[in-house]
Amino acid sequence: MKRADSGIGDTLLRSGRRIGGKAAALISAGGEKALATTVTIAVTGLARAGKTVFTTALAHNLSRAAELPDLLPFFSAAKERQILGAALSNRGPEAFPFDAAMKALTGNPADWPRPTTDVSDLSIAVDYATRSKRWRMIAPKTFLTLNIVDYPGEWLLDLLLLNTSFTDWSRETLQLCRQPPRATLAQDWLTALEAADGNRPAAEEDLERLAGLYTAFLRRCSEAGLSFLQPGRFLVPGSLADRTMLEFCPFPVSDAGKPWRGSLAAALEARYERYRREVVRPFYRRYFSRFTRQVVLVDLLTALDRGSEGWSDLQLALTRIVDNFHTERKRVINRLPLIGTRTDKLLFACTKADHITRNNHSNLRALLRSTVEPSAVMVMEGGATVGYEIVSAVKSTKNVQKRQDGRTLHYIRGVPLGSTVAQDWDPGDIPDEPPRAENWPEIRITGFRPPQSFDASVAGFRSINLDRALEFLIGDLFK
Amino acid sequence: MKRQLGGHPVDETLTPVEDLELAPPAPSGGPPEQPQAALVPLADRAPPRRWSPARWFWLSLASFVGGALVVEAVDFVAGMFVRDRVLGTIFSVLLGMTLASAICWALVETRRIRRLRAVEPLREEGLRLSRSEDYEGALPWIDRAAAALGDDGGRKALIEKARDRILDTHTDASAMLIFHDTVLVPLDERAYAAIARAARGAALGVSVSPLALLDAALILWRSIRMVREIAEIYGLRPGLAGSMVLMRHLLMSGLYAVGVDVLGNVWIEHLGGRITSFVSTRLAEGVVAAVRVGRLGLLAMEACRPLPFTDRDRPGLMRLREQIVKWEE
Repeated sequence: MKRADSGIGDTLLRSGRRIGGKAAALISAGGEKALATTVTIAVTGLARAGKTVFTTALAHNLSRAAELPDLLPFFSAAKERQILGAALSNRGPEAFPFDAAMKALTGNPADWPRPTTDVSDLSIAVDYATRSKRWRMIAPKTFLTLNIVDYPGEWLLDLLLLNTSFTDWSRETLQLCRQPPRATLAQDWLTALEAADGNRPAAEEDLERLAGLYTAFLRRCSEAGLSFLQPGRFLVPGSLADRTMLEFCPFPVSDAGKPWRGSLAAALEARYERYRREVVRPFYRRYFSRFTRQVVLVDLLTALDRGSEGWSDLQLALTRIVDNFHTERKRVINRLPLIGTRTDKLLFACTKADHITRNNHSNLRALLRSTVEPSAVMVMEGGATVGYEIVSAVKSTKNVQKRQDGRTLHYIRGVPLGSTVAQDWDPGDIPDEPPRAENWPEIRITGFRPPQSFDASVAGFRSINLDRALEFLIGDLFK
Repeated sequence: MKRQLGGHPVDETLTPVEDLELAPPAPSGGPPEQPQAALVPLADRAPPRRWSPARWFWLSLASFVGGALVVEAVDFVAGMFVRDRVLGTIFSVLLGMTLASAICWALVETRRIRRLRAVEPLREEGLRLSRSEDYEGALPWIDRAAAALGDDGGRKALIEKARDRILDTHTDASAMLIFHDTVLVPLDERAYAAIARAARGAALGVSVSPLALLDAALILWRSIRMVREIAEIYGLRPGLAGSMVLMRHLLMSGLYAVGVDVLGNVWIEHLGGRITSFVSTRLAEGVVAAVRVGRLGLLAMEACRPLPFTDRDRPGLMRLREQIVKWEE
């Protein structure tokens, strides 16, 4: 009898323990889940600003932060050994080509990854130990899921079309195209436009020809270093299957009233509206409406190097992008609690900071600020935090100093693109505010090859201010 | 400009120990979010205090307690003589030996501290660099720091790590912050452990020692040993100014110990001398001793570090409390 009793007691005790253990595990798992955060960061930027390299280096360094906290000394979660590990997941049809980019950067010889041609996603789950006492009581560790969305920079300006009618867009684009530097590049297309009669019945070959000329013009502009180029899909179509979607162009709309249905002008407008409805709107809905944090990568240096025309085009593009953020924040839906998403942190990052000498870094930061800030004021007044940083996600040069006639001369040392020997390069002095056209600074920016024989299995990318950018973007999310 | 205070010349620029505001207990919400906190020396924060009636009160109380201390010790030994001559002799010899050995020990500890290099030259330059946006100052400073700090306790490895982290594009201010986080923060942890050990030792010793004079000697000896340990952890000793601050705090600690002991005895008698009142009073004396030693330890950390604390890792007694109650070596 006694034995049986103790048997029941043991069983009870054991199952009690098991239930208790499970409950404890459940509670701690629940705590971890309860504290877990997901954030989507859009890495945006105009073409060739270095988005792919930025995303790749950020993902790699973050995933190595647990073993190599030295990599990101100004990212507090890494510095304070809070990060326990990070796992990348980039599966699915729209996966960010992380492996391909890493292969390019770590190959022999190492090279820069290919620019983005379609939209892609990358998700990083960062396990970390909770820091503050309050959170530690709920769970000792939890995780932060970081979704990074990368897409061709050309598409960013398409978002502006959402709030622009065909008439307005045509007027503005044509006005821009009749001025230098576009006037000469647009010559063919403008001539064709003048010859075309908007009241004629629309013919497929007319549409195709005009769109073809307009696309060729956009390509010439892109090669000339201009940035304000719409629509972006004309340059990088991505996975767009239906080519007729891209067969339209701006067209001078007569003041005589709406063109008749079936006319060339009406067909162009209908195509524009369809492009807005079926290409831009879904892209916006799918990716842009859910971001709360954005990085806008800007390549000021190449624009400075290209001269005043390229520069003012970049400035125009930037102003319009920032205005767009502001308009989106003001939309009624985005003001609703719980439903609305509003960008709450916006970081302007000037890339390729390793292309200039370090004594010019503070000037470059000031230049970035004075270029963007006038338009960013509206966004800041709306309550978003705006940050400015100069970055280089993969540092490919070193700073060297030489003494000459009692003066210290600053150079950067790196292997220029297309060469195999390191060279000392003097990129010139960067102004701290946008220069005037008549007094354009002499700046020589050249591309450099990425650091060679980089072993990603043991090391992270050496970078400039990538850690500060991370701190700004996600530093506050670590509990 | 010098002024006289309790017989010790004190530099006007120094912050009196009582004025130093150690960090208030962290709110339950966790540490304040100041990731890039600037390095600000503690001394910059508290303005020096003027002479006040309170000062006079403390001074007279200190002299009173000091007098009472001597009288009590003499009384104790005299009491032993009254009971038995041999007993009296033994106790007077013991008391003399305890005092003499405590002083000797203190001297030995002080000499060991003197062997280290003074922190001042490094600290002044370090403070300037941590506000500088130039590029070429930090690495030479770190070389000098490496030479001064030596290799004990893995400091060389830490410095190497810091050097490895600093890129040529980090400004001097950034580089100094990296040095601070890489080298000093781990050393701070060790210093905290040393302080916790000393505070526990002092608390225990004071709780069991029967004599006020012994309390004072114990606290003095344990404190000096702790300061030496902290100095060895950082590899640098406090300069003249820092030593003066510590010395004053040390003397005040001794006086506190005596004062608390005397007050405690009065209290025990008032409560009727029961065992509970005896134990609780002794424990209270121990806690006071621990707090005094702990505060001295924090000041010693501040005095020995080649860079001042950042706002983020400013030391506080609350942080120390966690270490002390852990009760493990």
